[in-house]
Amino acid sequence: MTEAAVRIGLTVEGVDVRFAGTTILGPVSVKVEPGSVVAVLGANGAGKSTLLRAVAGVTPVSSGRIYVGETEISDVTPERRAALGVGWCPEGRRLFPGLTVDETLDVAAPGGRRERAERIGAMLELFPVLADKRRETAWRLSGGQQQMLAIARAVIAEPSVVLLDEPSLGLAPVVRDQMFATIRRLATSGAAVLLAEQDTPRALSIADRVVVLARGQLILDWPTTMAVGNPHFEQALMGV
Amino acid sequence: MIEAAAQLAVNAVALGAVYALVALGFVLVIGAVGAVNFAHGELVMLGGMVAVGVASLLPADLPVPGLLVLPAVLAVMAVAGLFVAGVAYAPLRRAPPTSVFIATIALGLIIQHGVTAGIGPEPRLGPPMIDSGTWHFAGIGLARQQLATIATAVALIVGVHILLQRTRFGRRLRAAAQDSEMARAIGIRVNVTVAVSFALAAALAGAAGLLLSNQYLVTPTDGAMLMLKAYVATVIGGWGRIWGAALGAFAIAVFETLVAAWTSYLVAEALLYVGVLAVLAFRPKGLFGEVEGRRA
Repeated sequence: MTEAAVRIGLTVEGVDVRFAGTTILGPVSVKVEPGSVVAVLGANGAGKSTLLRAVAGVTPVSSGRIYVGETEISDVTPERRAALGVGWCPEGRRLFPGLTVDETLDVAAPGGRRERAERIGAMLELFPVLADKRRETAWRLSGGQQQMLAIARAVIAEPSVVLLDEPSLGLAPVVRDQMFATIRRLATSGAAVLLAEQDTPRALSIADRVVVLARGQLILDWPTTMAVGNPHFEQALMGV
Repeated sequence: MIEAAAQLAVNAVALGAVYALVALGFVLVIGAVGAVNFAHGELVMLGGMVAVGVASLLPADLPVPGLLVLPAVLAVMAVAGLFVAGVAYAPLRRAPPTSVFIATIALGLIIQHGVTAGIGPEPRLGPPMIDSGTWHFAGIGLARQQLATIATAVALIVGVHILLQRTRFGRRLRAAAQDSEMARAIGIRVNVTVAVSFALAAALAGAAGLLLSNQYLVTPTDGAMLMLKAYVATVIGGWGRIWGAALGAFAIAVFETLVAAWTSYLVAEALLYVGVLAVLAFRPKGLFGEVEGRRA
């Protein structure tokens, strides 16, 4: 992945999401600096995926504001958010099962034919496991390969904000290690990465900050160095 | 005897190719919006009527009237498809799929009754694709109409295949059909792919209507039967699978034509639906359905 031309971050200000009159998230405020990883931790149902879906634009927010750099994206469509630099890798991968690896990357890549080919080449360098699977349909790939493809699809447009939802779910430990190393490299190249994850130790190993959600509320937002080994952090994780 | 068998085979392939066009359009819309367009049969009928109308404006002695009419039918029906999307889908896209079912049933009835009220219930003869006559292959004479029908339908099917498989727009259309929310999140304008799917589906329906209108005539009430055939083809082919539905439609037509030749059309129809029940019982995902799943 090339160095991001413009290093811009993500700002979420007082966002809340309601469904059928019930608040399921928020109000939540989170800031992700460019070149950094913010890990979003919490139990199942804490609101991690909802937060990422709200930023991606596929779940409408009831109030609050979301910015990519200085640009407010709270009311724009998901496709416009993608154009403004938001890349989303959802929980469960959500690959297009009938498309091949090449086709999946091609539909997500911006630009003309030559530029798209160059971007696909860059993704195959970043995720070498996909290089000899280019003509395989997504549903024939292994779980780890599918996850790599889902992340490649999210970042092929070189978004300034990358949203990763449970990328390690269901993967073998060795594949998880490769995955987290790749995520760290994305941030090093300039992206602002918001990572929702259940694998707390690995998430902490690459994150600059950590936020903890419980029942839709943000209950902790600390630098990772402050959280590791801190009993208050452990209590927050357990929802105490 | 050999000539009769060869002509029967050509008839079966010709009808199969036309049914495949109908099913292809039908399943394109299912993929695009996740809902059935129950007006699809009426769009086939409307295509036949448009062909009859456009042909009446042409001189009577043209050598390839159907081929000349075809571009006009495709264009008019593509616009009709956009109209169907605008009236029966766009206002209801956030409503449950049953709302679209009902809206398209209503629209189909409006088209059927509108055509009946406008030009009457009589069957009408569409233009032949080319002038009548026989082509001889290895001493066997085959009707030129049927061969031209096969060639036209195959050309359109190949065109759709190239669009969907070889172009970036086609890949984006397939992606949006498989997961519209995810497609939007990677920047695909799903409202455009949906509109194109409706236009393409109606254009294919119109072409099928033109091809059927000369051999079988066209009547305002034809839509329901064609709709049922498309639905059955989609079930046989594996729900939502584009090429499965086309193969399913082809299989239906070949089965119908061959069985009807040895028994009767009514027996062929009855046996067809027995076969459909058997497919549903033993292959619920259709003859060409595959199990697609997530791997760990």
